[in-house]
Amino acid sequence: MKLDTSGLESAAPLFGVTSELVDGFSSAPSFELPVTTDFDGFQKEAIQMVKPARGTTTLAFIFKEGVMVAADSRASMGGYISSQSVKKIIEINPYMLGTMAGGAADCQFWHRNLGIKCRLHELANKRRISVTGASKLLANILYSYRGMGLSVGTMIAGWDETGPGLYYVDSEGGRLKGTRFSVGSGSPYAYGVLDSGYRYDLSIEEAAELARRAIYHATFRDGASGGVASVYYVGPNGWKKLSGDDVGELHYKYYPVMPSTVEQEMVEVAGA
Amino acid sequence: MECVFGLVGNGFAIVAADTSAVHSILVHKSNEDKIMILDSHKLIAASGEPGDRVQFTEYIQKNVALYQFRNGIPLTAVAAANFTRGELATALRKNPYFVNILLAGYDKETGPSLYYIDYIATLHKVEKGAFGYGSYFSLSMMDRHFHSGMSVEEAIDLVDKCILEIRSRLVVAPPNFVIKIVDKDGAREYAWRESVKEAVAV
Repeated sequence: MKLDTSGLESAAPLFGVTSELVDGFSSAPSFELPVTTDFDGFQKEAIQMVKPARGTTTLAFIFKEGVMVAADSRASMGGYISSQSVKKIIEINPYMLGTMAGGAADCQFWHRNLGIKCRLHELANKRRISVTGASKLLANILYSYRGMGLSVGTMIAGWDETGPGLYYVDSEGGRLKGTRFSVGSGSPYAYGVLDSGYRYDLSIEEAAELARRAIYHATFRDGASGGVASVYYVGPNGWKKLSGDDVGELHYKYYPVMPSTVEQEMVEVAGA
Repeated sequence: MECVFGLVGNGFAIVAADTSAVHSILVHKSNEDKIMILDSHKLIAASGEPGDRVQFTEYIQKNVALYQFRNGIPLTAVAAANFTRGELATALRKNPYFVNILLAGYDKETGPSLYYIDYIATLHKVEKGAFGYGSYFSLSMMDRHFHSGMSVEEAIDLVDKCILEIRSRLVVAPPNFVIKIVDKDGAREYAWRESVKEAVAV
C-alpha cells in the first residue's frame, strides 16, 4: 500500500531542468506502509512478537568460595529447537561473567558493550571496575531503552575488591543485588532444587554439583531448556569453566536404567 | 503486590514497606529495601515498576543533594514533595514513571509531615496513607485506630497490626517488611518484620 503524497508536492519543477530528468521522475513521491488496516496497533504487535518468554534456564549463587554460574544451551523459536549448543554464559572480562536469557542478540551485544565500558573504566581510573559499578552501567543503558522491545534477563557475576558479587539486571530496568538468582522459563524448577540444596559453606565441587543438578532438573521439566549444562566458577583469580555435560547423559547418570525382572516371556508356539 | 503505608505521630513520621522483589510468579528476593533515605531528615517509600522505582528515587535524591550543595541549606519536606510531583507531572505525557511514593519528612519549623504522591502526579499532604493491595487492609486499620499525636510505641503497635492483617488476609501477602522512622534526630531504619529469613552472604 502506497501513501500518495502528490497533493503535497507542487506540480511544476522549481527551477528549469531538462525534460528528460522530469520524465524520469514521473510518478508522485510516495513510501511503503505496512500491509495492515490497524496502523496504531501495528507497532505494539511488532514489539509483542519480539518479546517471547525467555526460553532458557540460567542460575547463579554466591557461596563461601565465590560465585557459581550455570546455564543450559538450548535456543528455541516457538516450538522449534534452533540450536542445542548456544553459549549462554558470556565472558565480559577475566573476572566477570554475564548470563544470557531473552533475546540472544540483545544479550550478546550489550554484554560486549559492557565489556568495552569496563575496559575503558579500567584505563581511565587505573583500577578494575566493581561488580556493582558494572551492573549499574548495564542497568542504566537498558533503562534508557525501556519500552523499545529489548529482551534481556541477565545476571552479572564477578569477584572484585569487596569479594564475590552477584546482580540481576533486566530489560525493564530492574536491578537486584542478591545471593541466589535463577532466570528464564525453567527458573522456577531450578529454584526448587537450588533452594533446598543450598548452604553457604559448600565446597567448590559440591556447589558445582548443586548447580549442575538444578539445571538438569529444569531441563527435564521445561521444554524450552536443554542441551548442555555448563558450570562456571568465579573465584579470587577470575572465572574458570568447570564442566559442560549433556543433560541427556546426566539423566542416565542420575537415574540409571535398572534391568527389570521379566515376569512372563513369550514363547514360540511349536508347530503350526 | 507491593504494600507501602505510613502515618504521622507526635514529632515523628513512620513508613513501612514490604521487601519482596517479584517477577510474575517468582520471588527473586525478599529483603529488597524500598524505603530510600532522601537526606538527613526525609524518607521516600516507593512502590511500582522496579526500574522506574530505583531510577526515579535516585534522580530525586541526587537533585535534592544538589540543591543543598548549591544553596547551603536543605530543602524542606514540602518543597521536596512538590519537586517530586513536578518531575512526575512533566514526564507524565511523554515518558511516564510508574512509581507511587510516600514522602515522610521532618522540618524544625513545621515538625513531621507525610506526603502522598501517586504515579499520575497527585500530591496530598496526609496524616496516614497507603499504596498497593495492602492499602485495602491497612487504610481501614489506620482509620480506626489512628489519633493525632500518637507516641512511637502506639504507632509501631498500629503498624504491626496492619502488617498482621495484610499477612493474614492478602492472598499474595509479602512475608517481610521494613519500618523506617524520621524525627528530629534524623531519618533511620527502625526495624524489620521478617517471617522468612533470606540467606545473606556473610
